[in-house]
Amino acid sequence: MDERTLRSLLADALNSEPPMGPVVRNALRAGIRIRRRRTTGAVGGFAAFAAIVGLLPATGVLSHSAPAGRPAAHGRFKGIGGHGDRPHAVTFSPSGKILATADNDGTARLWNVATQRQIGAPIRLNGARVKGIAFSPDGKVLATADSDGTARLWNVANHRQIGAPIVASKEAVVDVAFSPDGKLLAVSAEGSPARLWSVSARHRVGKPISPANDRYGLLVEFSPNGKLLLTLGFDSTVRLWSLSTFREVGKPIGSTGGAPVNNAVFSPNGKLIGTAGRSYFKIWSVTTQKQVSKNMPVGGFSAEGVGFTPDSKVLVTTDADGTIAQWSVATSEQVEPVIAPKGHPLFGDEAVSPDGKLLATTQSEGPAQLWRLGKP
Amino acid sequence: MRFADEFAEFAEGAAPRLRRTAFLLCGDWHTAEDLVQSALAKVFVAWRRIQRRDAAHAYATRTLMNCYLADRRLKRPVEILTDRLPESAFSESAPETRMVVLAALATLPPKARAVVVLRYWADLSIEDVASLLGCSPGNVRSQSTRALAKLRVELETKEI
Repeated sequence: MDERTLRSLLADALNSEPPMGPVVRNALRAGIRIRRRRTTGAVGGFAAFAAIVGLLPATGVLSHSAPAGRPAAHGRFKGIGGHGDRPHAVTFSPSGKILATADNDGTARLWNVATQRQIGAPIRLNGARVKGIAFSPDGKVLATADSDGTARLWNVANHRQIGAPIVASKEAVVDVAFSPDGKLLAVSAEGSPARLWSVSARHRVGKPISPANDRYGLLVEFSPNGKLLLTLGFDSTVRLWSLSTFREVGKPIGSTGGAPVNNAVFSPNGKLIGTAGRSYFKIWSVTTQKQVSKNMPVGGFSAEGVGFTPDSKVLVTTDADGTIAQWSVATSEQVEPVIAPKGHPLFGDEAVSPDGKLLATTQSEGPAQLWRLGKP
Repeated sequence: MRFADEFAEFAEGAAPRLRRTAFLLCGDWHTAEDLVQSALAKVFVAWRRIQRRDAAHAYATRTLMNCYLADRRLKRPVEILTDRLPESAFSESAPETRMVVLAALATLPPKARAVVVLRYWADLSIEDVASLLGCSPGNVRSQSTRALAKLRVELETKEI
């Protein structure tokens, strides 16, 4: 029996195909149920009640709706975003004064964190969409990862493009990251290995960075000391790469065949990596690539949002069940009541502000939101 | 609700292909539909993130594989498809051949079966299959060689 015979035998086996039931409707219903299922993690009873009261949106967000102190869970409040725009990525400028969003309409927008007003016009691409965003370390340049296979640099002050686009792939560029010294841009794309580019000269630096069996890059990040590059591929595995040898360092995190990793982030002190997965948030040692935390359960089906506070002591997580949780890095215990907004928003991306006081989130519906972290 | 509409549009398009893949994996249409349903529910939950990565089809297939493999690992069912002819009401082609093929597939371990279905029915490259199943291309290659040899023996003894 050759491969062709097998192909036709498999096709024959499908001849009995009956009409399909209401699969999509049922799936949608089940999906909505998963979203709505309330999870408060380790916090229950009185603490869960306290969590709702503890839900205080950040300064200013309420300026257009309710008085400060009113639990925002009881009403929709104005978030950071255009008219019904649904951003899918957020990042704070290094000063913490500007929030950048990559929006569902394909644009990138800059926002004044203090007033929640948009700064200038949206950054709009011709026939392409912004998929990822990153500020340069000096906060003067915004890099966008664009669906036309390029990365572009923008002047934050006047929203003008700086130089020509960096042509990185035939498919979409999905993520960009600046090195801590601002001289290099790491570009992660679909269909091409991740590469480093010189920001000033616009040429490739070093060797391609990608595991052999992975066609897609999803995420790229420099370690705070600039010596390592973190990649997350479509195989849901986090890998560390030396930027002197361009070789993989140690073992992959979240081994192949194991629980998939959706997102990963370096701790600001550079010693740890926080990951968000299907079932657990985990913390790993950068030097040993071993898990150093307990498994911190994810509410709902999946989670993507993971970030450290600036002191690297607290892991802030958001999940598909609409829960914001704050975990002690040392003990893996929740250090604050969970924030569980009404309606169980399906959280996507998140960013902790550089001062550690605010959390910006994207969710499946509506604009980006700001939340106050720490004690209510 | 634009969000749900977008998902529904994708799901309507993807469901038939996913159901056929699932049928070849599990050998019965009801289970196939259940698998597709739970896979799509999970796709819906992660919809925002998936859309961003323009990888909805790959993600859905991958989720389906996870559902299938997870199900198998839990239940370890003994499939005996040769004794009866289920779902034959809609068929006009020789049901015996079909049953023999499905029975031969059922002798394969779940992962090998997934490799065979993805490679020879879904026509995916070795690299894509490796990516979907979370293993190395070498593993896919050796799994499919072994699976083909086993299928050959199974089918030749049944004279197909």
